[in-house]
Amino acid sequence: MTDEELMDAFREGDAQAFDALFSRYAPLVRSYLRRMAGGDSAHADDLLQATFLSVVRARGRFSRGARFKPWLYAIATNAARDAHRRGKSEALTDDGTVPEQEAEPVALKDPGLERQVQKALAQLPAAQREAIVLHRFEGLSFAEVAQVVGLTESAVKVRAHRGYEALRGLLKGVWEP
Amino acid sequence: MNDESLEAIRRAALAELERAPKARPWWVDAVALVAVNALCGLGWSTLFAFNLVQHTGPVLRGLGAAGLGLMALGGAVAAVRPGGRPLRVLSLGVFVATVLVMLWGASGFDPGTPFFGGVGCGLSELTASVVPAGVSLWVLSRFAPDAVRTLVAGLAAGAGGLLTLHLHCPNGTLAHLLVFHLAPWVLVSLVAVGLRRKLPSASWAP
Repeated sequence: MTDEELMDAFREGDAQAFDALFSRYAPLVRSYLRRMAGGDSAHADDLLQATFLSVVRARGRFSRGARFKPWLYAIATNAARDAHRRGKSEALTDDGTVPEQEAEPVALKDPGLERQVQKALAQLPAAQREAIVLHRFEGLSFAEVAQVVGLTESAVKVRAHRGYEALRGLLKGVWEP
Repeated sequence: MNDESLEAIRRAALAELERAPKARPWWVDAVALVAVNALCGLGWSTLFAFNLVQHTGPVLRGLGAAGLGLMALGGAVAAVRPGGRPLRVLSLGVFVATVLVMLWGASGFDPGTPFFGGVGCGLSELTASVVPAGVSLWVLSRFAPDAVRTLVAGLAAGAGGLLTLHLHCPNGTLAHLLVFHLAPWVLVSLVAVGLRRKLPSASWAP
């Protein structure tokens, strides 16, 4: 079944359809939220819970014909943004990096490299970080990222471009995004 | 991946589903906002006698009233419609057009009261907007904070009160209309945007 068919069933209260969507997306969204939360797993789990509770509470607002994945990532992004605004994430050290004990490898094969990428991402402005993480790490197209963050595709491309430029500078000789 | 924490999150979500097995369609919120804005706008408007001195003519008077009615009702729908960003932008266009029509239609009639005697108009507008704005904020707490969405909801909430002033107040000077009619309308919306940022959200869905 497609995500959208599952979502239709879930809107009618089908718990199994929710389970299927949860199994499909919870690990992916968790990884995304970890990156957005600077590698803080506990905080990422709080955000993940807020995300899926929101999915349950707002399922009646999911438009038929819309795609589920960008909607889900929009919810996760909103939760992360608000937490960031309220100062619950990114407890950076004085030199502006993520504390060592909080930076955990997420997806790249080399844990050391992952940590460096994580630190570099944490130093980017939130808007650029969102665009890069969603596009480069979560595999969303620019059109989907635009849906997630509520901007035009070209605006997202500009943000991503600036973010990649900044990342190149931060990770010079270590990693080519 | 910590399976235990994922399982806890899954259970919490399913418990939430059990608490509310029936999905709440988006139009329930729209109907609630439209009803509150309409009741407040019509209620306040019918409390006072219509006054035609403020306006230069029936066309501009009617256009201004239509713009305010459209904002109060259409703005309420636009504020909560899923994926309704184009509608919300259109609502902001209706807001600008309505302001221009109201200023263009100003008669210039000065009833001779001191300028700050117009404070009563401003206070009436603010008072009339309290309930619709409060209900709008309550409804919007089920959405992720969104400044444009809240701005449109705030303008819709204030439009009913302004319709009352538009039809009742005899003062047609530009300064009076700007300071005591239009500024409080905008103020209500900006306060709503500020408050929404501070208030907690029950959901992060757009």
